[in-house]
Amino acid sequence: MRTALTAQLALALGLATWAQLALVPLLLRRAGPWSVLTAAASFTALAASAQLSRDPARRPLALGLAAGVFPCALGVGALAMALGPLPRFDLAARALAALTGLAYLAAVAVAWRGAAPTAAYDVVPLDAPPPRRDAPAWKPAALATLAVVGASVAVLMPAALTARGPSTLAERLGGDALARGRAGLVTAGGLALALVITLGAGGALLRRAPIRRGNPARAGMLLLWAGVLALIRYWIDHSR
Amino acid sequence: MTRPSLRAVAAAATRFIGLCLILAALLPCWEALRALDRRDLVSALFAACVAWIVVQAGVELLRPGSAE
Repeated sequence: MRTALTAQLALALGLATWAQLALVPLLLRRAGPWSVLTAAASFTALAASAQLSRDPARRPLALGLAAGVFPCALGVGALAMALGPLPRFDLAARALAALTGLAYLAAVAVAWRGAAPTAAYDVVPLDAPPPRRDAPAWKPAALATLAVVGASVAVLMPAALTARGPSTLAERLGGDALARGRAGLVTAGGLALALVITLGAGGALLRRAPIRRGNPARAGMLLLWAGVLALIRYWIDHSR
Repeated sequence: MTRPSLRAVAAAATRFIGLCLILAALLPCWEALRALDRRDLVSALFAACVAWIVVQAGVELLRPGSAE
């Protein structure tokens, strides 16, 4: 019962996200074929997910549509719209759209956790090592930090970057349309980056049974990769 | 009152470093958006990859079972 309610809430939040990010921009400007196509694709993915989630055997497919295809289609649509002049999309509207999107993803995650089978965790061989103790105390702090990072990247940073007027000579000469196109690209990029980061890290943190333990050595290796990539980027930036 | 063991302190410190790493990913994210603002797509892609990898390193330290 509770799972069904959460699924309906996820559907409503998904429709609200779709309306803000796909429908309203389509109605407020002359839409290109890509924008119409991606808006239709994202709506179809959401509707198909709602239909398929009624059948327990098809719930993985429904989850893939709801948490994978729908956000990706919205992201591609936002990128297609960002290439042209955008309608008025101020800070409050961005914050509302980002919050609705994050609430939708949270509702999908909660609905999926409620629908996941739990029998697999109850069957433990007698000679197996005891299950690891989960330490839940740090999880709220980790999720709150992740939410701060996601909101900053999706809302605050694009707002701070695009608050000033046209900066380059081309934008001064090209006028408002060029500057707004740049703002749209930064907004779409910030939203996509926040989605990738929060979906990946949030999924890893919320997983009930981690596939493998955390490994500080692996974290060190990842940081080494990040350092190497940062050096390559520095080199590319300064070699042009 | 029992004193926390060295292992518990190490686990807490590891998780704190993980949280700091996730927060530190804000810097490459900002660099990525600034590069996107300059229409420097290659630089933005590299900065976004750095941000993603730093977040993964933070999550790695936050997984259950680390340093326990």
